[in-house]
Amino acid sequence: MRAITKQYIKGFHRLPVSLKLSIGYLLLIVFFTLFANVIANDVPIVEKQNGRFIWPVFNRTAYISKKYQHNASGGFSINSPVSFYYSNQDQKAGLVKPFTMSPGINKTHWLGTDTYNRDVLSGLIHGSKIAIWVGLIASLFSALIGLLLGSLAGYYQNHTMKMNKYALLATMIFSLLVIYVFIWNPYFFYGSKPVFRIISWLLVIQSVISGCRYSIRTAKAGKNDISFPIDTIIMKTMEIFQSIPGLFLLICLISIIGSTNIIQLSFLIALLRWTSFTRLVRGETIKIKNTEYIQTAIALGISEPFIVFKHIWPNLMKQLLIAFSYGVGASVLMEASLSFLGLGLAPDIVSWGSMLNQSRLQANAWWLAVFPGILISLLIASCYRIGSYVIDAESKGIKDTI
Amino acid sequence: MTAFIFRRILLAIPTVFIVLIVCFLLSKKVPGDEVEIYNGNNIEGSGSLQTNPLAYEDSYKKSCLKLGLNKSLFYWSLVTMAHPDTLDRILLLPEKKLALSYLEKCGNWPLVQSYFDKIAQLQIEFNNMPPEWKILKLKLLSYLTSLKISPVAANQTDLYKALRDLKQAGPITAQLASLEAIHAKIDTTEPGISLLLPKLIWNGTNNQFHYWLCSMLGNGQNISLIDGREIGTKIVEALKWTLCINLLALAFSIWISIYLGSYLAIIKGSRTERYISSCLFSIYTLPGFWIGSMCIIFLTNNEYANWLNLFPARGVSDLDSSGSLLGNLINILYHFILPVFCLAYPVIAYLTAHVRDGITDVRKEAYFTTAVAKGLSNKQAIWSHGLKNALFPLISLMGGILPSLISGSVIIEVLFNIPGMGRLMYNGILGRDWPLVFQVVLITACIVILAQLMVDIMYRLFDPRVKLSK
Repeated sequence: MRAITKQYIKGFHRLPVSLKLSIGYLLLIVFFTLFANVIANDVPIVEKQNGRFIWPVFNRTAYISKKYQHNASGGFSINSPVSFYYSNQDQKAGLVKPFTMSPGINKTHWLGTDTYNRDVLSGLIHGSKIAIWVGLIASLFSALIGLLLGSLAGYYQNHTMKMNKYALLATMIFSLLVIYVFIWNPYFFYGSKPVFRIISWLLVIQSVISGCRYSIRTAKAGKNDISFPIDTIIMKTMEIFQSIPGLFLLICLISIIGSTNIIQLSFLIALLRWTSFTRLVRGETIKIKNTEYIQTAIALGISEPFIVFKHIWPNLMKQLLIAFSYGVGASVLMEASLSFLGLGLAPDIVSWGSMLNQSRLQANAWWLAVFPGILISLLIASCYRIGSYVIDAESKGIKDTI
Repeated sequence: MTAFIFRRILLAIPTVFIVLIVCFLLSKKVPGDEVEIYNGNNIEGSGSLQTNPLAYEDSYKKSCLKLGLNKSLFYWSLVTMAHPDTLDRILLLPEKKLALSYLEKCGNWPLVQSYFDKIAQLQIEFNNMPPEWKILKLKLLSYLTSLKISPVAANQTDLYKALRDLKQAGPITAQLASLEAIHAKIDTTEPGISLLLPKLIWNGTNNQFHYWLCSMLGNGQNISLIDGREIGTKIVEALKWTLCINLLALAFSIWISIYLGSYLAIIKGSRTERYISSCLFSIYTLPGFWIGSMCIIFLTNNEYANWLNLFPARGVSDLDSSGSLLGNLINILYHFILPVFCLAYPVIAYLTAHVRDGITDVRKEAYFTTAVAKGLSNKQAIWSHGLKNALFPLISLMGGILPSLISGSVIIEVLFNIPGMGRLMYNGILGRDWPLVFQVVLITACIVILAQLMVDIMYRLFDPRVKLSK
């Protein structure tokens, strides 16, 4: 592992300039994400009070509430480079141009302020958190779903998954029972508690998996076997998901949930994006399964999980990586367009898309449109560039490029 | 071939059906009362639940019957043994919810029903009170209404004060006391086992889903909740704009990308080609809504410079159509420039890369070399031999583009204020105008599936080597 890392670091200077820029930009945004509170904050980073050093950035609310009690800072302190917090409303500077000095306090709004008198630069830095997290979590969710369902559909297809009829029946009845008792009927155990629901869904999934595995293992040559058409089921589900307009699904689910947080929004975006991952993984799995060494492994009687985990998954990782880097870009785009329509996260959370949304109503405030737009485009471009580089590298053979 | 098409269409019917069911059930979970939306937008002066409860309930029930919301939800319902078959006869949505919550508390439907029957009976009784008791009557009625929709009754001290002042208040107080006794009984009753056992109720075709399905397929009235207009005409009006803009954008982008793509394939490997290709790549990554709002901010007003005010501000719906036909056409096209540009530039970037790669591959083939060797110029060879083979992969891309041709781009239409399908859908969902939304969902789902079918058929037509599987 260390050798590989070393080789990658050594080969970095040989990469094309555009790829270096993309990686650099991504690292910058990740840096913003990790240190947003340090870079843009209205309280000092470190301060000497009564002979002791304190770090207000890590406990902003406590510092602000205490500050008015002490009222004696003075002495040594280091301030953040951007001296506004993203939710700070500077009452004296509403919708001001970039490089405007705020009248009361002696601080500059480098990129102006927005409609709610908040500093744009600080909002951009704190908004990078949302872009990165939504992009990563949504793609991770959809890649996981795609990997699981795609390899199931691709490996078993329609005729390979032989199951014992009675085991299948028992599993189905047991799952329905669990679903009725724990999820459908709210009067058992006061099942409206989310913990109960999650546990029972896990129970259902576990029972289905163990039921399938049990019946597949024991009934290899039984006469009560039927083939389970898992490929058709998954493909039909995908078709249904693709036929429902995404906007309808998103708006309905968002209004059912109420106000969404980052995890929920990522999950909703993943709900729209999992089909492309599943299709990719399914196709690749079929391709790999038809190669000779997998057929040999099957003929040798190697267990199915071993074949899937050790032979098939490592071989489709590169394709998945390409799709993942494109998926991050697409999820960022989707989050931004949802916020742009005013549908995404709660309005007090600043994201790049919600800033663009404000610019829609303020034609004279060009800085609200230009800066967030540039950041979004660069982030999407970086993700796409990394994906396209991996495609190129694969077609040329990865050794020549690194 | 015919059997293949027939089979695919037959297989698609269950998919569309499931899509509709999913959308229907999802919309039922979304907070918001359809009848109130319809009444609020179309019927005026019916009063609110607080000020004039009887008139409100009357108009509510009328609209409820008109929209078919008095039926049960689906063909069957899976409920507990304690649930009655007749729950859907309660029309008022908050009342239905309250009745359900009482049922969950005590598990005894006749008790709950007697409570609501008593309220209804008292409402009629109090409404027939002599006219000199007008103020008391209003107070009593609003008290009953608040009992009907919320578990905790509203402030009743001044009501009891008024009752105490009155001499003939004896029967009224007794009635209210008996009502409260039933409520106390609901509170204290312990639920039995009937809440735990399942029960399947078969509703037959007399349900909301079936009603909507029939009205969508033209058998029954099909009106929008927002403005009470016929949905078909609304969709046709919107489709006109969407088709205009999207077809223009598509034609424009195909035209440019074929020329640009073949040019790039001819000069493949040169410095110019690399520059143009990276430019196209960066253009592709620019979000359309950003470019659109930048265009609107900088190009449609003279906030920044007078010469930048090139294009009209947003909106095509309020165009002045009094001029000559040609003048109108030019005016409309003038309004279309920015949206068409915003729709077209990502497609241009995307298609050009595909055409370039396709023609680059074709140029390596032997038949292309032969064509050039027998004296055709590069251009002639590409037009007569290369393009047909290079465009073959584009057929599958068309499967993705065709649905958006009909359903439109929400963001561009909202941004440029074009009354197309995307904006219709967007406003419909935000306004909870479900009949309209379902119609659009139905059309979109059908188009998505038909586009897939068309792609398969076109593959077969253009390349006889392809075999149609299942």
